[in-house]
Order: sequence, then C-alpha cells, then structure tokens
Amino acid sequence: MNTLPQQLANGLLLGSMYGLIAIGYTMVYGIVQLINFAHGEIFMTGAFGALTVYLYILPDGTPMAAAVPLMLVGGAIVSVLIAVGAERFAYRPLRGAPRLAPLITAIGLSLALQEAVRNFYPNADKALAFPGLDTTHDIGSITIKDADIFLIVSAIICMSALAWFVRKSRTGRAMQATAQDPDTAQLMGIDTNRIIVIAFAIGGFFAAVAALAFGLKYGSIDYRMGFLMGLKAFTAAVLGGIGNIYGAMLGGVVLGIAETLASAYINNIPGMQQLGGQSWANVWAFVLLILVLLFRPQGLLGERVADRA
Amino acid sequence: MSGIGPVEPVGSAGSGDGRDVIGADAPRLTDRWPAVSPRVRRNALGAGVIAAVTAVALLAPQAGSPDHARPPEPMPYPANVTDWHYLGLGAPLGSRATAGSFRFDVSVDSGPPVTLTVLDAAFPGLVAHATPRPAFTVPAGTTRRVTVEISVSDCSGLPPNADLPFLDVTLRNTRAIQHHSFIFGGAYARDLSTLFHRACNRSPARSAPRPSGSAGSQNADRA
Amino acid sequence: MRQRSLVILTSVLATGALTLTACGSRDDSGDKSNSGSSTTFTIGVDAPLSGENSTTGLGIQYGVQVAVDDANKNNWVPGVKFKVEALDDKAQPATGQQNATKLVGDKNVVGAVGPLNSGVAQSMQQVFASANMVEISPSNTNPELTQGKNWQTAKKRPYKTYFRTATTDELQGSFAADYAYNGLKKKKAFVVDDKQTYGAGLAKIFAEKFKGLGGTVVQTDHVNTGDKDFGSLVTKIKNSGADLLYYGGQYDESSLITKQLKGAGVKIPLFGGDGMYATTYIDVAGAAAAGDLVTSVGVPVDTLPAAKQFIETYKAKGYKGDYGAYGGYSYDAATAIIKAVKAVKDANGGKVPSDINDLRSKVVDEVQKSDFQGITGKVSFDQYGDTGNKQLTVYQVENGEWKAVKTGTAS
Repeated sequence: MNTLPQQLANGLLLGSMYGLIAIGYTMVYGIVQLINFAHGEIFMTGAFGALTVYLYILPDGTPMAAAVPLMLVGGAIVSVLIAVGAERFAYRPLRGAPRLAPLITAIGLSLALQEAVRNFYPNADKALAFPGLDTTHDIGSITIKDADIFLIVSAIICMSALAWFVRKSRTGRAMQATAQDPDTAQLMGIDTNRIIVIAFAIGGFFAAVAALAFGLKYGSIDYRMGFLMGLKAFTAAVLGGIGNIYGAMLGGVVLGIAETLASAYINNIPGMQQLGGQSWANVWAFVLLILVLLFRPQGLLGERVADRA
Repeated sequence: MSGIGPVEPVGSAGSGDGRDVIGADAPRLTDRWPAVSPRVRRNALGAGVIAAVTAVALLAPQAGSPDHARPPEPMPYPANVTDWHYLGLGAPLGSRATAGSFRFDVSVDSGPPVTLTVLDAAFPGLVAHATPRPAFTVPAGTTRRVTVEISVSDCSGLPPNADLPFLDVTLRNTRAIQHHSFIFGGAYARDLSTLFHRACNRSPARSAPRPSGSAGSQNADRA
Repeated sequence: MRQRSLVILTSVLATGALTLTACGSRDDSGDKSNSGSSTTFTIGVDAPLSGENSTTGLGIQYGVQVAVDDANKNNWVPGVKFKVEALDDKAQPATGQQNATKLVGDKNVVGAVGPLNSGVAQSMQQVFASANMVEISPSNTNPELTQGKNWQTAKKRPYKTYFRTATTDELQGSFAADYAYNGLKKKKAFVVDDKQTYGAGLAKIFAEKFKGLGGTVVQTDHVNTGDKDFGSLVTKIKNSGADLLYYGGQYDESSLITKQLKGAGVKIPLFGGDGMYATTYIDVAGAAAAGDLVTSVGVPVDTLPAAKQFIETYKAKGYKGDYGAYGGYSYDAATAIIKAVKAVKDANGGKVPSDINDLRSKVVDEVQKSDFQGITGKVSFDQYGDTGNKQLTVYQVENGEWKAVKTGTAS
C-alpha cells in the first residue's frame, strides 16, 4: 500500500490547523508589531468555550450537525472576547512602551489564562473528552474523518473570506493602511484602535475555528494544548512571512506536511533510522524553518507591507 | 470500577476484530454548516444565550447523586491467598529428555479452599499437566506438594532460554475464578532451560548462535 | 503612561505567578495540630498533581493522605502525629529534583512517597540518598532504579534510601508479552514509546520478551510527550500489518493514539503498561478504548478485602484522581514510613530521636526491615529495595471499564 497520499492528507490537515492559528499571530504582528504569545491560549479557551456549549448548554443527544455550529459560536464568543479583552486591557496600555514590555505581558497573560482554565473550569486539571466527528470516509487510498472535512472546508472558507475582506472591504483596506503606517492612517481618519481590535477579533475567531476542529478531530482537549499548537502556529507564521496572511496559511501547510513526511519517511532512508519517526517531527520542522530563514529571511512569501521608516 | 468477575478463557480474550467501531453512531456532517452567515450566527448566539440560561436553570438542581454502596466482601480472591514455590526436579533430566517433572509446594493462606487447574507452561511448544490429577484442591492453611509434568512437543515454539517462565493456572474458590500466572526465576528457569536444550538437541544457548572459530567470527558477523 | 503600563505589566505577571503558586500550596491539608504534647512529622509526597499524568498522581497523593489520617486517628505512633506535604512535579525530572531538595531541607519531613515517573525518580534518588532520607515509590517500575544500570547482567543497588512497592518492568514486560503472544495470539507487534525512562524501558523489555516468545516486532517508533497529532504514526501502523500496538508510556498520549488509530479504521488493540491504567484513558478515548489492554502492578485493589476500608474512605472524602493503579501502594508506602518511625521510637526507649538526621537514617534502616500486612498484601523489601510482593494484572477495557482478565504472581 502506498502511504504517500494518506501522509500528504495528514500533513495538509495538520497544516490547515496551524495555518488557522497562525493567522492570529500574523495579523496582529502585521498591524501592531506585537508577537501575541497568548494567542495559543486564546485558541485553547476557544476549545473550552465550545466544550462548555456542548456539555452545559445543549441538551443531551443534540445531533452533531446542529451542535457543531453552536459550539463554534460558543468557542468564537470566548476566544474573541478574550482576544479583544487582552488587547484592550493588556496591550493597549503598553502601546508605545518598549517592545519587550508587551512581549512579557503576553507571556504572563498566557500563563494566567492557562492557570485560570485549570483552576476554574470543572475537571480541567486533566484532559477532557470532546465530542468527536469520527465517521470515516475512504477516498481512494485516503481515509479521512468528518472532523477532517470540517477542518479543511472551514479553513478554505475562512481564508477566502479573509482574503476578500482584507482586499475589498472598506475596513480591510483601512487595515492595510494601518499596517503600512499607523500614524498616517490615523491622520487619514482611520480609527486605528478599532482596526487593531478587529485584527485581534479576527485572530480570535480563526483560533476558535481551529480549536473546534482540534476538538472534533482529536476528541480531547486540555488546558495546555495551546502551548505547543501556538508555538507551531507561530513557526508557521514566521515560515510563511510574518505579517502576511497568505504566508501564514502557506507556512502552516508547509510545516504540517514537512512534519508528517519527516516522521513518516526519514527513518526509511538508510543511515537515518535514528533521526526519523514521530518524535523527530518537531526537529525536522525547525530544521526546515532554519533553512528557509537562512535563504529567505523574510519568510516564504515575505511581509507584504511597504518598507517602514 | 467493579470487582473482577469470572474470567473469560484465555483463547477468547479477543483478537480485537469484533470491537466497536468508534463513532459509528456519530451523525454525518454536511458541508453546509460552516457557511453560516453572520446574521444567522447572531441569531444563533441569541438562541445560545437563552438556551444557556434555561439549561443552567434546569440542570443545576440535579447535580450529583453518589452511588457507591457495595456489599462487604470478606472472602479473599484466590489469587491473593495462593502461593507456589518451586522445589526442584522430580527426577534428573536424561541427556535426551523430552519431558521433566517439576515439583512445587502449593499453599493457601486463608479463606475457602482453592481448586487449581494447571493449564500450560506459557510456551507454545510445551505441554504441562499436574500429576496425578490435573485439578486439585488445597484447603486454607495447608501446603500441598504438586508435580507438574512438562513435555516438549514442538521445538520451534521454544525460545533459546526460558527466562522468567510462567505457569498458567486457573484458581477457583467460592469467591471467584481467576486466571493466574505464576512467574518463576531462578532454579525453575534454569531447569526448564536445560529441558529445552536436551529435548531440542541444542547446546546451551549462550554459545549456540555464534559461528565457531574466533578469528573468522568477526567477519562472519559482519557479513 | 509609562507608570501605568508598568503597573499593568507587573499586575499581569503577578497574577500569573500567584495562580502558579496557588496551585502549589492548595494541597497542604492534613493534621496541623502541633500541640505541645505531640510531635508532628511530615511525610512528603512528590507526584504529578496537575496536567499530564495527574489522574494517577493524585491517586498517590490521596492514598498517602488516607494512610496519614488513619495513623493519626488510630494513634499508630503514640505521641506522634503526621501530616502530608504534597508537591507537584508536573512529571518533570527537574521539578522533581527541586521538590526533593525542598523536602530534604524541611526538618519536619521524615520520608517521602513518590514519584510517579521513573524518569523523575532518577533525578530525585541522589538528593534523598545524600540526606539519608527514605523515599518509597508506589509506582516506579524501571528496573535500573533499584538494580542499577546493568540490571540484566550484574544487579547492584545504586541507592540504599530508595524503595518501591511496585514491581519492576522486567516482570511487567514479560507478563505483557506472554499475554499478547499466548493469550491474545498476537504475532506481529508495532512498538511505540514516549522516550521517557519508564516508557522506553518498558517498551524495550516488552519487545525483547515478545521476540523471545516467537513474535515479530514489525516496527518501532517514538513519540514526544505532549504530542496530539499522531496521523503520521497511525498511517505507518496501518501499513505495517501489525496485529497489536504496544505502547510504553502514559495515558495522556496513548488515549489519543488509540482514538486516532481506531478512527483510521485500524482495529487492533493497544496494549500498554501501568502508566496507562487510569480512568482518564477511557474517558478520553471513549469507545475507541474498547478492547485495549494494560498490565498494571498489583492485583485489582477492589479484590483485596483489606483495601475495602481504604476505597470507601477515598470515595467518601471525594478525593480526586484514580486510586486504582497506585492508591493502595501509596497507602502501604506511607504506612511503611509511619511504622518505621514507630519502630525507631520504640527502639529508642519510647522517644523519637531529637536529631532529624539521626531519625531519618534510622527510618531508612527500619523501612528496609519492613514486614507487615498492608492493604495490598505483604509489605517487605529485598536487598535491592524492591518489593517482596510481586503481583501483576492484565486489564482490558470492557463496557467502558477496566476489567481484570488475568493476574500473575512472581516468586
């Protein structure tokens, strides 16, 4: 059996998830030059928001087709509120402060969110079961689950919508202007604070979509899930060119596929047995990142904004 | 977690084929739903909030009703009171022996009498049965001497050395039937290994797989 | 502006730090009555109490708590009260070492129970040994901890202060291999481990024993603790034609692996060790767990008449975690320390030695001599510090519960 198509599908799915989260990093960075390290936790709280809807709001036995949109709503509310709240209360007061200050704030916020969920969400000190969409479909030699279809379809929809929004809508163009030069944008009558809030909100929403897909796909969530996923998504954003929304998605997919293929095939190469397998996937992902940054420091696509003064 | 019940026979422990298919009952997902428009989403949000309030109001009163009252179980499980102790070979193994008799002390500490049935010696190529009777009963507080006749039926199913060999036994008293392994190191492992070597015409395993001749052996290994 | 941002920055950091410390200190319960007439000694506990492995880790903490409460209530050591100081090692060796240092530095601590993970134990043994303080693990199964690096050829005890009430992976791996090959009739195993001391050691022993019986190990792979996506691994397993997946590691990863494995249509059972024997495994994996197996140390706690009281207390107090795997062993480990304190006191003319170092070293000697009927059976230690009570059980998931299918005793 040829496993390559299946492994590519595995990588594409994982990569789409990275990409969705990476959007949050890249948009915020593109506009306020802040690496929002709490974004992984915004992703995590989205998953808990969705689970809350499923466990405590929906009646037992709600069909999943009806439950999933409502869970998305619940997750999105939580993620967006936390993302916007973080912007308003943690980052906005520090705008203009040295760059290290908001960065450290982001790390503190990330810990605070983790511990808040762990301490105050019922039973969250261990992994919680999440309803899965586990019906499988065989397409040729590829087996995928409903959760995978949800992930890929929502990634495509979200990305297209975002691309349209940024390019065509008034707010989107205001966003591009703010990214290019916030001061001038403000002089042109753009409410930059509003634009920044919108960037955080979009990042939060995308994180919630990814979080729901994560739960549906893996069937379990825990308060630490945001750390590694956030780190990988950040890597994806850098790989694709931080500040560039297309780059985030591309970076995610490239990272996901690279990880999967490395873990699947490197130990088949003679002499490389020791360097392959699942446990080396992260290593190869970062090797790829280093290589890309060595030859294209601006990332695969590079930041699309104009040069900054 | 409930106690262990009658144990299923080892053969039926399952190959896993007949196991549940996960998510067989999960509903199918239509591709339609992620495309919900913002207005619908807003309405759903409103509905969700109302549903939340209702659900909390409805579900809150029926929180947790503990249900752990188990009847007392004064009788011990057989595996917890039965001891096996290897004494030695019943008779020295001949140079071409294909079977040996291994003597054990079986004792039961407390509780009702335990009936033991020797099943096998944990290697596919071995046949084991207790003599004189395959099943025997040991009352509490007593020790019974048992001889287990182990014969080699198929050398291909045997490892070069028996290290930590098992003796699989069914234990039964009025409390439960348990499938239990007694695991022996030391003298039993050595004696059983000797039986393997004699029966299968192997020289002791340590030197067996090496090619003879010291000078050429490194090259032979590399080839 | 600057001042305001500083305030916010510090407050956020403080919030983060405070929530962290809150978790460390919230577990201090137990008897704090320190009246003039009685001395209070502390029994330290080190286990993962949050995050990964915490289900079994909390089982250790509260197993010790029940033992200490019993000792205080029944006045096991007249004039001496005990309390528990539970420290969270988060399954991290470095944290475990810090905790060990902290316990050793506290002049009220007479001994420690823990840790859960063999890899953490490696970093703690030295600390306890240099303070001559007893450490009893209810769950470490890696043979090296008591029998040295070369346990297969030349056993040598590395630390005389380290004991365990769980048996070793040498037995556990053999037991699992025997059940897989002879019980389940599996011939081709795919072996995965999490690269930790415990998981990698167990998987290696299983693979050796399984091959020894005549089975084939079709492929091996390793995962990282904390991994969530096992898509690539699952595809490899599917393609390997294995009829059994053996996993050396903890339930956190294996519950996800089995879920993704069954989700991909690979209907082979996952077989693991005692680190997987927890209710959380079934909670997380759901229906995918059906038919999966573990071996665990000891016989099922609820088949032990002596443990009945323990289980009732544990449940009645509403303690978190799962006592199933190590709760009973933790109770016995704590009891061994308490009984040792009593023996030291009795041998010293009814007085506890006033010098804590003297007391600690005498407690080590008395623990070595332990010989009593605990709730899991006889508690005694051999010349390596290994338990004399070498029992194992195979459990299988049936109707959403771990069900014992076979037990074993080594002699």
